[in-house]
Amino acid sequence: MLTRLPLSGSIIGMILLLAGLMLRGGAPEEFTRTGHATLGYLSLFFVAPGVGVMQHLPLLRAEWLPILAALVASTVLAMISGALVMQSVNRLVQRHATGAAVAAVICEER
Amino acid sequence: MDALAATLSNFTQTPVFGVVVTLAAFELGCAVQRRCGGSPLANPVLIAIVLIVAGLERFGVSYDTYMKGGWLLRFLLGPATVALALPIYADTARIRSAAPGIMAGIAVGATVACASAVGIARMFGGSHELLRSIAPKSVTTPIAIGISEQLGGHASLTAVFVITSGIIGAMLSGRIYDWIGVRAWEVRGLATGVAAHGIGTAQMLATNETAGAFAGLAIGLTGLLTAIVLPVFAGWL
Repeated sequence: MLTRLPLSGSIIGMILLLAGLMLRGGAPEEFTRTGHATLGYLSLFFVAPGVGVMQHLPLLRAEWLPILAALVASTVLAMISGALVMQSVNRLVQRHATGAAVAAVICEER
Repeated sequence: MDALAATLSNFTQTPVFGVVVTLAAFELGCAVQRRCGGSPLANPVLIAIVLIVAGLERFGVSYDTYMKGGWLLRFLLGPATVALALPIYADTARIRSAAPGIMAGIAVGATVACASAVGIARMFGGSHELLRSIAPKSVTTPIAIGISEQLGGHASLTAVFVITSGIIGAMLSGRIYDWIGVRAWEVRGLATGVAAHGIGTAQMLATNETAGAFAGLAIGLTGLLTAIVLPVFAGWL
C-alpha cells in the first residue's frame, strides 16, 4: 500500500530531514545556511519544467477557456477556504483554551 | 555570418545553453519585479517562462534541446524541497499549538482545490484527458506527476497546470488575504502552501519566515493527503 503511493523522494527526504533535526535537536550552522540559500532560489527551479508548456500549445489553444477558468478559480477558492477554515478553527481552539484557563483560575480562587 | 550561426546552433546543443538561458531569463524576471516595487503581480517565474518559450519558438530550438541544460535546474527542485524541513523545524512549537487548525485548513483547502478545478473544467466542456491531468494541480510537481500517471492523465501537462496554479497563487495571495481579512502569518502561509505549493511558498518565504514554514508544511501534507485520497475517486473523472 505504502509503496504504491506516488510520494516523491523530495517529500520523503523532507520528512526524514525533519525527523533527523528533531532527534538531533538542531542543525549545524553551515548546513542551515546552505539550506536557506537553496530555498532563496526555490522559484527558479520551477522555470525549466514550466517551459514544458511549449509542448502542449495546440491543446492549450483548443481548451484555454476551461483550463484558465479552472486554474484561476480553484486556486483562489482553495486559498480562501483553507485560510478561513484554519482561522476559525484556531479561534475556536483559542476560545476553548482561554475558557478552560479562566475556569481553572476561578476554581482556584474558590 | 554562416560561421556565427553554426557556432550558435552548436552552443544550443550543449547543457550550458539551457542553464544560461534559464538563469538569464529568471534574473531579468527578478529585475522587472524589483522595478515594479516588488509587486507579486510581476512574477519572475512567469516572466522567465514567457521569455524562454518566445525565444525558443522564435529561433526554432526544441524543448528537448533546451532541457539538456534545463533538467539540471529542475533537478535542484528536489534538494530545495528537502530543505523546507529547516523553516518547518524552526517553527515546530508554533506548528504544534496550531495543529487542529492546520489539519482542518489542509483537508478543506486541498479538497476545494481539486474538486473545484475538476468541476469548473467539466462545466466548460473540458475533455477527460484534461480532467485527469488537472485534478492534482495544487500538489507539488513531483507528487502531482505521480498522481496524474496513476489516474491516466498527461504527466507533463499536469506539470504545466501545477506551475500555472503556483504562479496564480503567488500573484494573488496577498491581495486575497487582505480582502478576506486574514492577517495571521501562519494562516496566510498555510493556505498558500495548500493552493500554490512551491511557487507560493517562495513568495511567502520572501515575505515572512513563519509564513514560509507553514507553507512548506502545507506542501508536504497536501501532497500526502491528495496522493492517498484522489486515486479513490478516480472513477468519477
